[in-house]
Amino acid sequence: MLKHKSVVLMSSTLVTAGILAGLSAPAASAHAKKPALKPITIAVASPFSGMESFIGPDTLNGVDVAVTQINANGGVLGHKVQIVTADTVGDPVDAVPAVSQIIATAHPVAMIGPSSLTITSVIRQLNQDKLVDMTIGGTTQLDHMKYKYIYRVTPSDSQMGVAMAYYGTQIKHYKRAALLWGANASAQTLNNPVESTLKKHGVDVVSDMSIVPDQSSYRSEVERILAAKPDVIYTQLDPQSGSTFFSELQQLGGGNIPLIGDDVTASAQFAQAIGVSYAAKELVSVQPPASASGPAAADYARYYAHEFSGQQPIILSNNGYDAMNIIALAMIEAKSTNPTVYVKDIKNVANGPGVPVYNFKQAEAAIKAHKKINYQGASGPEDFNKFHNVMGAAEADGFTSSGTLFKVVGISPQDLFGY
Amino acid sequence: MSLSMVWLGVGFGLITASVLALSSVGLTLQFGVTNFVNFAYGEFLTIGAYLAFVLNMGLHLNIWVSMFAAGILTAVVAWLFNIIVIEPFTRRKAPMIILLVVTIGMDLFLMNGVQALFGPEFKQYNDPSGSILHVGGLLFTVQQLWIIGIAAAAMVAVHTLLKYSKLGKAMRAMSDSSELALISGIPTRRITQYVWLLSGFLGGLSGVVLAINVNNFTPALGSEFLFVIFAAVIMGGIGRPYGAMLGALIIGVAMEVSAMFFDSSYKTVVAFAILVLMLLFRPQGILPSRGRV
Repeated sequence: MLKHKSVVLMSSTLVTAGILAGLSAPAASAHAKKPALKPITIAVASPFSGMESFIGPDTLNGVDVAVTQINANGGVLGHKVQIVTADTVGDPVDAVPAVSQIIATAHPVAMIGPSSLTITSVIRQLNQDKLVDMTIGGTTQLDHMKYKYIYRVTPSDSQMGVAMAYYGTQIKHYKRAALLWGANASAQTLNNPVESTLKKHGVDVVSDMSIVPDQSSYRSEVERILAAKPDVIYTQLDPQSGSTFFSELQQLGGGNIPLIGDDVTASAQFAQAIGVSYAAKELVSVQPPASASGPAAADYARYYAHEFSGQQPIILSNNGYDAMNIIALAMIEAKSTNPTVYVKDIKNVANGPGVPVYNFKQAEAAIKAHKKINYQGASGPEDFNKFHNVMGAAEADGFTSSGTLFKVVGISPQDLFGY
Repeated sequence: MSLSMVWLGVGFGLITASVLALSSVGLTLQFGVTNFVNFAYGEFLTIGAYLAFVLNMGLHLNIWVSMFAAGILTAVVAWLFNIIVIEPFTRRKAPMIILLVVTIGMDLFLMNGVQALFGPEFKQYNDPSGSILHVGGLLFTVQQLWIIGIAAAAMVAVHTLLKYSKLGKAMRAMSDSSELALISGIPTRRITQYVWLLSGFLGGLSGVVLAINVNNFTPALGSEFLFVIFAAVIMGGIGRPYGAMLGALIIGVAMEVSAMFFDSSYKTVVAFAILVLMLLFRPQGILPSRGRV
């Protein structure tokens, strides 16, 4: 009887444990910024822990650079900008309470994030709360969104998926492809565009596999892929799963199969997880350009180096920077920090028509001179379509043996159009 | 799907089962004597893995020496855990549900403590995996053969302890009835402390072999593995070490072989489907019911 009770109690406790773990997740922490008179608060909701914990800090770096520039120029309509963060842990179970809590306690006037892993779990709430949100991430679930307050500053994975296939077929001419995705929404959204583009161009997709993250072993899955004899593996896995999978792939003799990944595999954390020397040898990641060329990117690189002791901008940081600038400029254009008022001016400052502007100071001066502006971002033109998505170029990046990302080849929007 | 691929899956399953056996026997031994489930057990694995990391990378000890030392140190951590956290509740005869909540809280506390000390970044041992060996149609690295050997040796040691030592007999007596054991003159408090030491030792060992197996690890190592450990423990019958060994073997092999046939996303589902069937048709566990430990 005791054992039966124990089993029931254990089972119910498993559920309780899950709930408690969710409730106890670090929800929000103040990000240290010097307070000013009547500051306005921008929330950065992103994974700062969990399976894609690099997204939060990387995005925040770019937001910090923008905020420094904005506050140095007197803030937004006289308000200094302050940042608060919410840790979504990359999991909807944690994201929903974390976002609710930050909205209730910090009263932000805009949000940046969350990423693809959790945006769909909070998107309705953000829109209903009439909070302007600039999400960062490529999930194809947002390709045709119709939310007034939600915008996306990174190109869709459907575009990146096509770019991954373009790199593999047009530049490397691989003929037999294995697809390997993590069993999460973010990775799954890549499957269709990659697979359909590969098949359209005559590539034999010999294996299409999704794996549950964080297992202690993937040897059977590795053996299935090896049995299919692919020329290349297209992949998006979180770093922990990637570490286990690719170490076993090497153990079982597949260490010389090239890998084509996306922005997740382009992170330093991923390269560290699978081994930098292996990443340098076999991995190429196709992603939005880490930094677009042109005056906006040059300004951003200069600001970034000033903020972070001479460092180069890291992946995703430019998206955070652009998101923050667009929000601030829309407020200035609307002469209001109220999201229900300035939301109508987001496209006005980002899309033009107007005079091209490449940084906040220049843009603010143009607006004050009663000129229409067209903000050009550090990550690209940042022109929103009718579904509030941006289009952009891609680039294939590799790792050096010291773990630094370098550009292998650029892929233009013209290359991808109709491919 | 060829038979040789299935056979390969069985071999891969043996490795998973070895890691699982070490951890599930540690958990079930503690349950058998104390009669409550320790949800902080996953952190013993994590602590073991990080202690071995310090010894291997900081003091440059061989990984297997580091593993053994980390097991001993984790045993001390588990012993202290019992003295400082658990005993104050058991002394007051706190209800089981209170102890469960306490261990869940301690699980979060310990995981965040490890993260505060070591950071969230990936850690890796200095431990070259070596070349692949072909053994009867199966593929293993030298490391994996070591893992299987260590698990087998630990299981034999646990069996010898339970069957032939005074401590083992006392543990079995306490497992049947701790009140009767106390009346019979068995020092139940001391035996409980030995059990925590043993549980911590096995938890520490399994944490290190798990970390070797997954190549890189973070502070979430143990908690991510805990639910599979529970599956093996429940399958074997909670509190029964031999059952846990068998449960580990079945779960480990079933997960790997299923991944050869079905989409890998169903791998964990297969493990838990077996578990649900067990709970429906044989809730006392897979082995015949004749007392626990």
